[in-house]
Amino acid sequence: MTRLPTRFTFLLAVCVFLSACGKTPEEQLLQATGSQALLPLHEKFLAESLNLAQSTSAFCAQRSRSSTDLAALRNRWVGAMNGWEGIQSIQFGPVIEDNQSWKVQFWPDRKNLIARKTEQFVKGDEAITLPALQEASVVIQGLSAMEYLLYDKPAEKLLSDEGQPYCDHLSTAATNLHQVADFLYQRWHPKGGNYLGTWQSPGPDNLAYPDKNAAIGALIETLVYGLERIKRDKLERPLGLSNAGQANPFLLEWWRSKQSREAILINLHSLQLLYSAGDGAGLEELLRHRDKEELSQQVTALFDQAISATASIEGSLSENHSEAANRSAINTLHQTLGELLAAFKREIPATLGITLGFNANDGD
Amino acid sequence: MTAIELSRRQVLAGALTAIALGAAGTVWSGAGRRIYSAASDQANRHFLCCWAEGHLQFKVPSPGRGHDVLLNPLTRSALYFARRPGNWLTVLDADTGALQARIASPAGRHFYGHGTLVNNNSLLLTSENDYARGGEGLIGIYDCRDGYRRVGEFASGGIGPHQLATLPDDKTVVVANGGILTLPGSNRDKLNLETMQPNLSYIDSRDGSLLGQWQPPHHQLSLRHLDVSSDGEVVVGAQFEGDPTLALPLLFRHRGEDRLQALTATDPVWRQHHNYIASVACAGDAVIATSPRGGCISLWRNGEFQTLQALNDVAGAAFDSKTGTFLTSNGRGQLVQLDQQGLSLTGRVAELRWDNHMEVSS
Repeated sequence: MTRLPTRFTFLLAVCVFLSACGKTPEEQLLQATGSQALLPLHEKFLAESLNLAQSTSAFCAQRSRSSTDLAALRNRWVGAMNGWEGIQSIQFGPVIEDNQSWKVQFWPDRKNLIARKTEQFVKGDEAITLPALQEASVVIQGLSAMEYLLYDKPAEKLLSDEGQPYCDHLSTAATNLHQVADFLYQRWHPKGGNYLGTWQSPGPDNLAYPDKNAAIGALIETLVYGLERIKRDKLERPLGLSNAGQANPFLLEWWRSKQSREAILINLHSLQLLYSAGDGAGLEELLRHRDKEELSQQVTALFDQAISATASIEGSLSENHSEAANRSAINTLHQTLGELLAAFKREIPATLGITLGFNANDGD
Repeated sequence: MTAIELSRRQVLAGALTAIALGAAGTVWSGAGRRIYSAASDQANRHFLCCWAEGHLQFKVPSPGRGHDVLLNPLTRSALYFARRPGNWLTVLDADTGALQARIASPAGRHFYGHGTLVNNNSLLLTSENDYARGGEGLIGIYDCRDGYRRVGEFASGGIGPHQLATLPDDKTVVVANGGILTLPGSNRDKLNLETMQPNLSYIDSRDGSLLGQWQPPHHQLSLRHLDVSSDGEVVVGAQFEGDPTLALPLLFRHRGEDRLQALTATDPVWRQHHNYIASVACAGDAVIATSPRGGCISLWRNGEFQTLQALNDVAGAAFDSKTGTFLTSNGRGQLVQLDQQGLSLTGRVAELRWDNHMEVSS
């Protein structure tokens, strides 16, 4: 990363300081989390998905495709997938309009629908076009179908002449993914749909966020959702932890590309960013402001611990999860996630006087 | 968006049925719209509330968390039901909030949170769990004119009866048997998800005889909430307990067909409901369904999906026949109207979280 000139950094700091003046800690949280986390995370997904779309289109336009080309394209896919994992937990705002997240990722896939539906689509009579893809099931529209094409049986075919329909599907899915990323980014951005502005301006006339607690509550719900997803869906169910039955690695996220561990790592980094707002005054700072210094630091330490436990897992989750050293790291991660969840579900909402999903958690 | 344009004929049909059923909409002495709902505050204290004209008309402390509310013009009452596995039913004067009666479920039974009125509003029927005898579903019968005294019961037709409603003949009740076995000692745990058998049962309230019973297309589609249109069509909403990656229809309508008719929408629309419908409200050929997990209200017409509106933690839903608009409530204290222009705020009680269901009197 380029180092900014010192004077510029100083000026920036003064500006940030001045703009923060006169704002309540809650307003600062909304500003900082928006500019330091929400927008940059969406921007990253947009940039990576554009990269992937361009690379896929170039790859498929080639007369002959080599395994080196395929490896390079797989890296692009990993980049876009990482971009997605950065925002996967964000469950408020534009993502809920017309179910964008399902278009990006279909998981877990208990019945191997991805393979079946992708093969059907590729071998079907209908021409493989963007409208046809968008009309079809979400199962074949995004990163999950692309993973199948790039890492499963079709991968070999992509390198031969008979692989053109697979490449057409790959290319169309990449374009579709980029459209979703673009939609999300534009809908958040102040120069587009400005959902960020809606989130940052709570008040009685704001139907979505009638008060600051409602806006901050959406952020906490996102943290809870993201942590629960890792704990339950990315660890317990596929690895058979916590009485979840037998391990079934096919329930792991990205088992075909063996990126399950990396996805968790990126989730944790982005959840920590949503908590801290990077250099800004995020939720971490708000807790300090409410005289909960210890809680604030404890949560930061738990994030660090979860990240280092994840990073210490060697090999892939699907193949190496039962090795002793990995077992211990996975157990540490699992336990740490439980502690983080307790903080975000109970202590933090209680401290801030926030109710999380009253009717959503009712179950009647 | 597509507007909710209830035709004059539809509104009129609704009004005429209301007249035929008795003096609906006259539970209180004044004019204007009143909204009734149970609610809780930040300190987890529970209340039975009435809201009108910008503020609370009454807020009566409640023995526990409430669920649905029912209005009875005959006794001018608002009946608030305990949330499962509560054992209380509180009857308040719909005008003043004064206590009219407090009923406890019999020993070995608890309420499921819903009820309906039959026989010119003179009998109250409630969904109950006979947990002392293994969890069979029961419908309790209470005499509204005798202080809501319990006078009988009949089988609900399945396990886990939830919401029930009266058909326009004022005799037949339709019950959503959710199929899920829960027992009071087991912390609301669902004990039979693999074997559950939900159904929609039609029962003659005069003798408890089962007139017909219909199963949803998947045995883990727990039928829970329903409403009946003025022409007797039942719309029932489900909560799916199976594989969460499946996108199954969650709403069905039924009026004499040989199977439940799924409402039609694309996969993404169903997915947006996150396998969970909280309330269903009908008006003419229009229906709305709320999903607090999906944070959305869906509007349907003639069985087909029309539009989706986002609202956080939305659950309560009712139709205001006087203004021809739907009303919804949520866990953020908001009361939100849905009409041709989309959503608009009717009012808010910042310190309250409106519980699952609401009723409107206008």
